[in-house]
Amino acid sequence: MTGFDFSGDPDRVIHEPARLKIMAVLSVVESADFMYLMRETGLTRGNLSVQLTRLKDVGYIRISKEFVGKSPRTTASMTVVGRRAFDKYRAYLTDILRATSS
Amino acid sequence: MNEITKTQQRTRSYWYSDGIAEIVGGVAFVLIGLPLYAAARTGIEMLSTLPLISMILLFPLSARVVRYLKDRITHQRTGYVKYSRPPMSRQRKALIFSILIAISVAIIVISKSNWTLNGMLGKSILLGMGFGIAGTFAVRVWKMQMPRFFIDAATASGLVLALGFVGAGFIEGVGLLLSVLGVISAVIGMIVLCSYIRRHPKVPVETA
Repeated sequence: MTGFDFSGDPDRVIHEPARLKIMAVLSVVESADFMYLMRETGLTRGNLSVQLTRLKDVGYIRISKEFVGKSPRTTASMTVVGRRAFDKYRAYLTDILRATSS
Repeated sequence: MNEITKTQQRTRSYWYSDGIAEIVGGVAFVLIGLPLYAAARTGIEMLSTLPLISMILLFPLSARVVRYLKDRITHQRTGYVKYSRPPMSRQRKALIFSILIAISVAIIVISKSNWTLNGMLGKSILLGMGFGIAGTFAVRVWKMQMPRFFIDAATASGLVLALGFVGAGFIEGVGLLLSVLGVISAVIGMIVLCSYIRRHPKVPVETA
């Protein structure tokens, strides 16, 4: 018996691969800009914008805009709620792997 | 390593992806090491105070130079990442540790009234310092998954062993160690930077 609750659902917001990648990047830094996230996730501008908005709407990330010289810079950072959700999601995956390993 | 872990690893080591930190760090090492080496070789004690001035100026300045160059080169090509500062307790511990080491070396030098420290003690401190630097680079190889730092680690340990073998004094040894390490670090940084610029052309201004 592993004690894993198979009826429980993973966090659907993070479960989506593109959003999971965004959360993975933001989990190891304070913030990352739009260009970096686009390069790391391999998403198009439009798609990344949609995924960031989705994560922002549930309160997992914070988006801020600033000017560096004359260029605008949009950065995203993980909120406390987001970090908690990401840790919970990781724990969920670890549990499911442990429960199905043998 | 899965795709998510790889993404996190790449993000953690992004700071070193362009070689800028190595170039600036290398130049700083040379500016500290060269006057020390010159002081030991020529016997002009005054020269040994230059590294202290270099250190005082370089610590705040090098961070600014790295940030400026990254803004001009890296952030426009592959994006901007801000790293979390280590917790205050860890920063304080590191500061106390550095001060204690500096004071210990200063006390040893003063008590022996031999500023070049050409004895067994000087050689032992030099050996410890060299292996300490090598260890720092080795940790970077392991943590950042960047094998190129093995060159710095191997240089530091090889050089410090060679210096011990030829019987170099503390000041001369530290000077040579920092100078050679600095040059190697800066050269590697330049190669990495050239390859980075070639691989990543400038991207037009972002729109989110």
